[in-house]
This record gives sequence, C-alpha cells and structure tokens, in this order.
Amino acid sequence: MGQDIYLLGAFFVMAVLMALESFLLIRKRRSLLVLFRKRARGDALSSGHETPVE
Amino acid sequence: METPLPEKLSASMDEKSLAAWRFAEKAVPRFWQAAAFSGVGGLYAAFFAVLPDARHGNVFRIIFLHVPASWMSLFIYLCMAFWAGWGLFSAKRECFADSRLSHVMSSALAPTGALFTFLSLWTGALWGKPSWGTWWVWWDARLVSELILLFMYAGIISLRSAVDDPRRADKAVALLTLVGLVNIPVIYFSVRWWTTLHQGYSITLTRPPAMAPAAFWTLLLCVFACAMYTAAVSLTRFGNLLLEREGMAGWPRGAIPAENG
Repeated sequence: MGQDIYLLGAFFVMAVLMALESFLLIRKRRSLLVLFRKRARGDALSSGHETPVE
Repeated sequence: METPLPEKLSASMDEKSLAAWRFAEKAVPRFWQAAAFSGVGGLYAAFFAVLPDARHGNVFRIIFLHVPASWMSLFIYLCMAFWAGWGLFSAKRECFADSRLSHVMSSALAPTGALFTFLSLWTGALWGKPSWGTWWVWWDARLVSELILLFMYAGIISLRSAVDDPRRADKAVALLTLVGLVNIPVIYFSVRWWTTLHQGYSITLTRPPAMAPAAFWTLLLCVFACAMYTAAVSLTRFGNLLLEREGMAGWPRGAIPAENG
C-alpha cells in the first residue's frame, strides 16, 4: 500500500466530485422537465384541448 | 428582472433558443456514451495496463488524472472566453439571440471549469507530496497561477449570481472573463519563464513525448474522456439554464409536451 494512498485519494475525490456534478445536473434537468410538462398540461386544460382526468 | 423585448425580436430569439435547446438534447446522450466508454477504457489502461514507473511506482499514475484535469481547466476557460467574446461581439452587431445564447453557453461552462481547476490542484498536491516532499509551495508560478484560475472561476460564478438583470450580468461576466484570459498564457508558459518545482513540458507539438507510448496514448484517452464529460455536463447545464432563463417564453411549451395522466 504505502504511497498508493495518494493515488487512491486523487482517484476517489475526482470520481465523487464528477459523479456529484452529473447527478445534480440530471436531477435539475428532470425537475425542470416535470415543471414544464405540468405547465404545458395546465395550458392544454385551460384552453379546452384536453379532457381532465379524474 | 429582464426588460421586455419587441415582439418580432422576441420571436426570432425563441426560434434560436429552441434550436439550441434541441441540439443540446440530442447531443448530450452521445457525449455521455463517449465519456463513459473512453473513461472506463482510459482508467483501465491507467490503473492496470501501463507499467508502474521505476522511480515513483504506482504514484505516477496520478498523471492520468492530473494532466486531463489541468488541460481541461485551461481549455474550458478558453472556450468560456470565446463564447463571452462572441456574446459581446454579437450584441454589438445587434444579433441579440446569438449574444444571449453565447452568454448562456459561457456561464454553463464555468462550474465545470472550476471543478477541473480544483481537481488539478488537488491531484497536483497529492503528486507533490510523495514526489517533491511538499503539498504546496507559494513561490511556484505554475501552482499559484493555477490557484488564481480557480479564483477567476469563483469570481465569474459569483458575479453572475450577484447581478439581478441577466443582460447586465452577461456583459459584466463577459468582460471579467476576457480580463482573466491574460492568466492562461501565464499558466502555460510559467514552467518556461520561471524556475519552478513543477516539471517542464512532457508533451509538446514539436517534440516526441517524454514518456512511454502506452502511457502517452492512455493519457490522451483520459483527456478525451474528460473532454466528452465536459461537453455532456456543459450542454446539460446549458439546457437547464436556457429553460430557467426563458421559462416564460413560448418555445419551451412547443418543445416539451404535456405529461399524460
């Protein structure tokens, strides 16, 4: 092991931060898409193009 | 709050924003695939295929993480400066749609640039301790100029969030980005201009690389993986920022269909 700890420290921090950035971006994208889909549905309902679902 | 635009201008901006958003939506999965394949291949080669260094042992494998992170920190800044400059130039020519998209692209790159700059400093410190006997020295121009780059990224991100009007923020951030461009040649040439603890160039366009061919190609593969990752996350962020910024415009309604049920 010895000095391998430096290599592992570099690798894990890089992997975790890149994974975290990707995760947060994809989660944000999903929440924005959900918001816009809901908004589009609201528009469709209010303009009478779609029958409301019970 | 952003001041409203004339109707005709607004419609042309809607079209361009929609085209840019659709391009990002189509391109992002391909960049993710390329990043995943090249990343797995690059890491496998870096950790298992390339032989350990005679002097540094396994620690030398840090260069497969450090060099891509450092190159990307500079390359992303250059891309940011390009988009910032293009944004200012387009605004001067009254192409407001191009200008707005350029500024959004520039701001989409900043957090990933900051991440790679931090990773460059972090992996550099982890390379420095076993190789040079120290985590950090303040007299080394390469190390300090890279730290200044991190501060530049932090300043750009902070300035954007500090100004409420997006168009004023675009202009201020673009000017700051262009001013910070002066640091890029300083970082690159620092090992030639000054005596540094950091080693000189291992790879140049004019000479053969000062490393084994297997290590060299592995390094290029890791750089490619980081570039694909950058493209994927930056375009994802670009799409998010566009939706957030232009959420009240007409184009997202046409682009994103209503959910069923």
